[in-house]
Amino acid sequence: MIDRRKFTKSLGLLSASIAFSNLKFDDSYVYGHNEKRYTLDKNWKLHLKDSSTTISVKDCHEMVCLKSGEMILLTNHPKNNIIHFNQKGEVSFAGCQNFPGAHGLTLYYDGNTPQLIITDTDLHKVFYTDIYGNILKTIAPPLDSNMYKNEKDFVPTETIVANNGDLYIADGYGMQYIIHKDKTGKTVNIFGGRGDENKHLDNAHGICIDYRGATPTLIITDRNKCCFKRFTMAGDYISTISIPGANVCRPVIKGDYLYAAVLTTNFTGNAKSGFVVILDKKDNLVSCIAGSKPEIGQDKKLKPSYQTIKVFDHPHDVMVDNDENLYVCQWNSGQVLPYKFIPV
Amino acid sequence: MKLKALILILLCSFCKLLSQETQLAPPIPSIIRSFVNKKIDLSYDFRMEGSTIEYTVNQDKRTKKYIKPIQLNKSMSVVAKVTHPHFKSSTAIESHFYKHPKSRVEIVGTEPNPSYKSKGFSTLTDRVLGNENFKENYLGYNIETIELAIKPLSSKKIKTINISFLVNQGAWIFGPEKIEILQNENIIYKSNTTESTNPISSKNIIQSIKLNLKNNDPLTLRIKPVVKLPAWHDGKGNLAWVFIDEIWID
Repeated sequence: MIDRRKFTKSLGLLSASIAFSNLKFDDSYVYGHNEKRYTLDKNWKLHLKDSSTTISVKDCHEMVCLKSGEMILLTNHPKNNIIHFNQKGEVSFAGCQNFPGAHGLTLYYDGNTPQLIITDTDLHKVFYTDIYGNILKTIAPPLDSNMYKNEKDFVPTETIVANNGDLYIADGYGMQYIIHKDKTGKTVNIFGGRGDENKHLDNAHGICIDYRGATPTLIITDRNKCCFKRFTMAGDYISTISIPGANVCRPVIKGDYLYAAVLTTNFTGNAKSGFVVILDKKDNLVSCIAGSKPEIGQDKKLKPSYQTIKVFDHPHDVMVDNDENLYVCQWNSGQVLPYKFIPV
Repeated sequence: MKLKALILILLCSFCKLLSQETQLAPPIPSIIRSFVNKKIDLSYDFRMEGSTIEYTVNQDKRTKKYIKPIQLNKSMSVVAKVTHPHFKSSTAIESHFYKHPKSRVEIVGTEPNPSYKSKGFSTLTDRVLGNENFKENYLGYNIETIELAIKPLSSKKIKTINISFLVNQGAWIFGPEKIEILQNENIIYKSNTTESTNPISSKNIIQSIKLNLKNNDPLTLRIKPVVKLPAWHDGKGNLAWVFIDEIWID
């Protein structure tokens, strides 16, 4: 017979050891490379405030972080298009049913008021909304241009707003054009589109403005070609940032670094092979989270990158909070909630 | 003390299990499938600190640690995986190497779907085997009967015909349901088995059909796809695609 006191003491030892061993074996692995390394916070998950109840999501598409530190996730779940949460994973709002094809989520400030721009790939429109997804303004497909014959040709995946209020829309699942509108809503330029020249795009999935240099430039995703392309604000091609092997989603710039989810590894049969890339301000790949160590080959070109650890299936966006924690949300990955990575 | 020791042993096993929840991706081979007619190197890439690539050759039970490229000069298969103390080992990835065919043939016949015509019929005789990427090195068909006329370019008697197919069920690509071979308008071979439509992982299959003919007269290869995709499949009831990358005779 086992003495009850001894047994209880042993159980205590067991619990303490599990806690210790979890820390040692399960949570301590450092993902990434060089100056961008993280641990995965396996205990972190979105949950209702004051409750352990989790939130339902379908495909998690994109996230933004407000100046206040509050974060917003966009999903195509029929009940929860918009989810507000904090660093602890506490959800303060989950709702909005306006966007069956919710895809792109962009934050901008109208004065001091945060607003969202949401692209819907099912509705073929772009929407300005408040932070709860209530529609303030709708942007219809650019049928007034010669490039579009019907509204279903327009399948917008991302937007970005310049400091002067100009809006750039990436038609990443449609005709691959970038539609540039001024702050009055007038279309001033359309560029990109399909083709084999440098200025063309193939799955223009995301767009951002790079303010790190002397002159702001646009960085646009060319996902099927495993690269980003840099354009002037007027839409002229400048250069290509090639990341062989990486089917990159939208570029996200925070501080000196550019972050991007990689939906799939390009050359391994594609499914469930995503990772995350981080580039420095010279456009050098410095870190891959759950991906191969960045290396330059003998030909002085970046070697192909690929998934090494099956942490992700299809990561779709990366967000960096005000404390440099990294959040990764995923598309078509078993309706998983976002993951949180803590810098080390 | 014995109880404590027992608990600690159990605990270590449990923790090891916990630590290995997450799996590694397989290593990246330089070649997945190829013909071999001279010495070639098979290398692996897996740029992750602390990882080890292990491989076996021709289903040998001895596992070797990968240190440098493996030199190959004959038909063989190499299976590799990655291990790491912190993660569950990867699934295995197979590379297959086949003896380079000596006899050459000329093939014409049913035109492939325009989206998957690769380099045309020369794709089937270029001695380049396809891999998982069905957009390259395959002729893709979505038609109920495929007929290919095969003309040997040497005088050697035909012993075997080999047809290499891709199976990628998620992309609606299945193996053939039936194969018939005709010579001088006579059916000289008819497949007895039908293609299994149970779910399987993506793979390449080579149908090697022994004919042992006493001549080298041209052959007609007649391939019938799976007419109705099975009930479990997203495209149930639809015609399956057939993708062929190479045909050769021995």
